[in-house]
Amino acid sequence: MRARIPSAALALGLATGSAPAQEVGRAPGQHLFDIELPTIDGSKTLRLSDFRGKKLLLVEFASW
Amino acid sequence: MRASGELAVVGITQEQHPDRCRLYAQWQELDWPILWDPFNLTGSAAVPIVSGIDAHGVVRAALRNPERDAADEFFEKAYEPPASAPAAEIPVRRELLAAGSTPDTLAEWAIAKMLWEGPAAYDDGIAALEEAVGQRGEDPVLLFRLGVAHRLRYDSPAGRSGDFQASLDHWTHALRKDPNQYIWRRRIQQWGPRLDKPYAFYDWVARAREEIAARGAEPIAVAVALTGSEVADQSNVLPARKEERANPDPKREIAQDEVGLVRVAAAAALNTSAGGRNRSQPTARVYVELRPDPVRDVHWSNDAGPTLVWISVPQGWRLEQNLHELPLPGAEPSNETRRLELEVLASSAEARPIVRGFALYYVCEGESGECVYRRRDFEIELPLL
Repeated sequence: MRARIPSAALALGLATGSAPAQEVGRAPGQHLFDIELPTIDGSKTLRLSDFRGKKLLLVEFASW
Repeated sequence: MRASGELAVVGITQEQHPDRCRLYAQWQELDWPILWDPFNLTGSAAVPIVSGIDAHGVVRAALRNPERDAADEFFEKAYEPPASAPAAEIPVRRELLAAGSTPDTLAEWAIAKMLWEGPAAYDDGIAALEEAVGQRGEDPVLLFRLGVAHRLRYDSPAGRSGDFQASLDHWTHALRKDPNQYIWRRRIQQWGPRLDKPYAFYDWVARAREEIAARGAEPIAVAVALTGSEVADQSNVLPARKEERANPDPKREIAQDEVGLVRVAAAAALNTSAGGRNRSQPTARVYVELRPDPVRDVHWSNDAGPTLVWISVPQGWRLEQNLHELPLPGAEPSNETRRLELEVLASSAEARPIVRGFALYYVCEGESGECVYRRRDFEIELPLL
């Protein structure tokens, strides 16, 4: 059965205005950068390495 | 896989304003955490990017088009731990305690302060980034981030009248150094002229609010009001010239507002191709903002007449109209900030052309203070080359 990417990630591919896609720093085989940032509601701070131990779907986007 | 805890989904948004993304997430019912990266710390030059990362932090799938790409292998495969060491951390952390003295450490400290302490840190953050830029010179990454800082402060209660133009100038400077940076390009185009827009940026907001309300929920409030530019669609032509109206004060007979009863600020966002292949026809979106002085308790005397703004452009330039009458909220006194947006099309790439204008307004000072009719002149120098 074909694996499903969460539908919200699909929606982003259609709904957001996009620019030419690039994969610098995200190419398969590379370690992903680690970063600590606040959430958009400011309620908490998360670090990408917090998600080690499980697979991660990282969606970089903008609502414009 | 999400339900079982084997898969997490995290977003990172490259936007100046997190609240717009919050509204978007509410509308689209995104139930995963979204991180806010206004300073483009990730260095992404474009969005959207969807990446599949294994449990050891290694990128295993670059999903350029989630509709087509087969992600089967990523979701189903168990990946072995990598032999190499993890990638470096982007060194901006919440607990950064002291500013360093190098451009990088100054910038890291400034950004951390502004991300986690908000408006109280904007003055210090901008000062530190200016120091970093001063030390390193024309570093496009630092310039972009300094522009972000100025816009953050502009949108806060501590905003200064020059912050908006400073943000646009720094972003434009950064983009000219790295024209392939589409995150930076979009940050300018968000406020830029319609002739330079690839699409409408935030025209979805109205529909989102309607649909969220129809679901019985309260739409998340947008903290910073959308400008006309941010919801405007792309256009290939400047709007047709409207009927000519005469200069309301050609002989400068109206007294100048010498004491600043109204603070007038003007800014211009250039097309991002200015200086490039569209050099012969640069275009700009001009912003004029009039804010009654709160210290003097100044308010608009709406029953006396409207606020007028006259715009002059260099010979041969085009604009839709010279005279603008700003809408009145009603007959009662008010003290809201009044804004005007318009677009101009240059006839040629002059080195540093100047857009000039003046505002005429009726205002009163205090509840029983004097009511006057005043003029305030302004000008915007556009660095088109």
